[in-house]
Amino acid sequence: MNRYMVLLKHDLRNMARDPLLLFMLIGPLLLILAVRTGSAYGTDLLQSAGSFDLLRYTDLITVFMMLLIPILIGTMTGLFILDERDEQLIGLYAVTPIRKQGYFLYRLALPTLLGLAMSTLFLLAGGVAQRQFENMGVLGMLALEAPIFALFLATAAANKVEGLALSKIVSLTLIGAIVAYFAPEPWQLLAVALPTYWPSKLYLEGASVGGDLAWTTAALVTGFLYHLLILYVLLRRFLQRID
Amino acid sequence: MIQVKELKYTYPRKKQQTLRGLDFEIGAGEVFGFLGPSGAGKSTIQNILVGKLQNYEGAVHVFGQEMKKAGVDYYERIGVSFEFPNFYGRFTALENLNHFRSLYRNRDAEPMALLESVGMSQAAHTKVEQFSKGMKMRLNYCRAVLNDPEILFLDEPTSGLDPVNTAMLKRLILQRKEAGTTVLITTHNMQAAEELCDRVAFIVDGEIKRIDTPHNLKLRGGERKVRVEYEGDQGRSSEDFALDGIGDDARFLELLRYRQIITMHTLEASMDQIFIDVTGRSLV
Repeated sequence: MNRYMVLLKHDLRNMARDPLLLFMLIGPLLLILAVRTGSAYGTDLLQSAGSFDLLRYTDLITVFMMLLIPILIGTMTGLFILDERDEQLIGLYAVTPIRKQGYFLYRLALPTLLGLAMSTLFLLAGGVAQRQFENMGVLGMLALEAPIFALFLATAAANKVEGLALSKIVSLTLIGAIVAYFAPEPWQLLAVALPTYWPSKLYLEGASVGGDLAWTTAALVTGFLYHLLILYVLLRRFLQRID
Repeated sequence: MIQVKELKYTYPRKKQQTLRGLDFEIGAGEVFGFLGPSGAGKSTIQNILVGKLQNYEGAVHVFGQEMKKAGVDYYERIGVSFEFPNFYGRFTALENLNHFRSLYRNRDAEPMALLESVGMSQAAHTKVEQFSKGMKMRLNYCRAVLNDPEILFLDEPTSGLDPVNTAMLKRLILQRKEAGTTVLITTHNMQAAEELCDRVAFIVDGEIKRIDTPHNLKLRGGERKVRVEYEGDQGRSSEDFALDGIGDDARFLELLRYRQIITMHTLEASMDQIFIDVTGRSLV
């Protein structure tokens, strides 16, 4: 069996024994299902109850929900890494044929690919997202967010318990979506440090009528480079920490 | 098997060198011990030899290849047991061994047989988080030999083991040696080193102070005398006799013939004493 498949099989068995990790794996699927089945029902309910038009906020719901997917996957991966760091298993993998490079390749590739797959599924099958060219860039950034959140937890937390507490701070990054949706342009600068701001901004630019091409391009290029930069910085800090 | 020349190492953000120009060679099938107090540089040497630390100065050749160029194949041929056992606590002993065995091409080792060899077959299906330190250390050894390694690195292998299990582990290590495995042990347990190692290196402050066989070290550091403790007229007494010509020593023969002997020992030095004499430091 391929060595990466060995690690994957082990992760799946690990998740089967930990309800929290299992929830984080199937959470994105539940989210997609809930949005798909619940949005139409919720719209009808709110309209009949108080003439509230939920459809006006479809774009906000979309960016909010699409950001939750990498948060869940990143937190799950971060907890895996913390567990393995606490038990000094990363040092052990470093002296097996998988080596340290292989371990990190696997640990970062898994959330990237899982995040990409789940986010794609959400945008295509969630029933709320607009079909637009900008979604390609949005998916690229969302794919990088899961490993970013994982490394943030692994770098900032001293152990798994602290990691669970810090995952709540990770959830606060959803503010990026709210700022991108509600705040007028100069005030949006306040949120540019949050990685979640950039895919939200790119999606909303594409979704807005008469979106500005210059803004769209700027959000795509800046956001993508910013994600890569954060990933690089966090990986360096984490490697320094475990050495 | 292992050739090291002028090995120096300084940890990042540290001014002082941890290893200061080490030279040694270890042959195939040899059991070699690195002895020294905490912080002497023993684990640093092991970490360089297993490829965990790369930015060293000097030359380190294992299997004829410079360590900095070691690839995946190198890790197929070595086994490493760290001082602190590393396992997935939520998984059983057998599940852990099966998982780590899957990482190697050579999967001939039978995890259950390995557990039996360290007296842990009853605990095969118990979660590792429920194990004592001693059980984890025994499991640690099993994990290190899963791929039937050509070189086995053991860091403080007897730490946390009771005398019975220490003796069992020593027996297993010597069986590996007989099968041709090269074994590198880092320890500050002098007794274990003396019983297991063909040669030992004394390391203090990143330098090798002496390399020799335990037997030679003890002979060189001791006195060629025998101490006889006996029941005298005024209670217990002891006297020392030179080994040379002892068969003609009238006083010695008299004691043997007419006194009740309590103990009789040659005065070769203990490994602990030799270490203190050579390095000026104790093994704490």
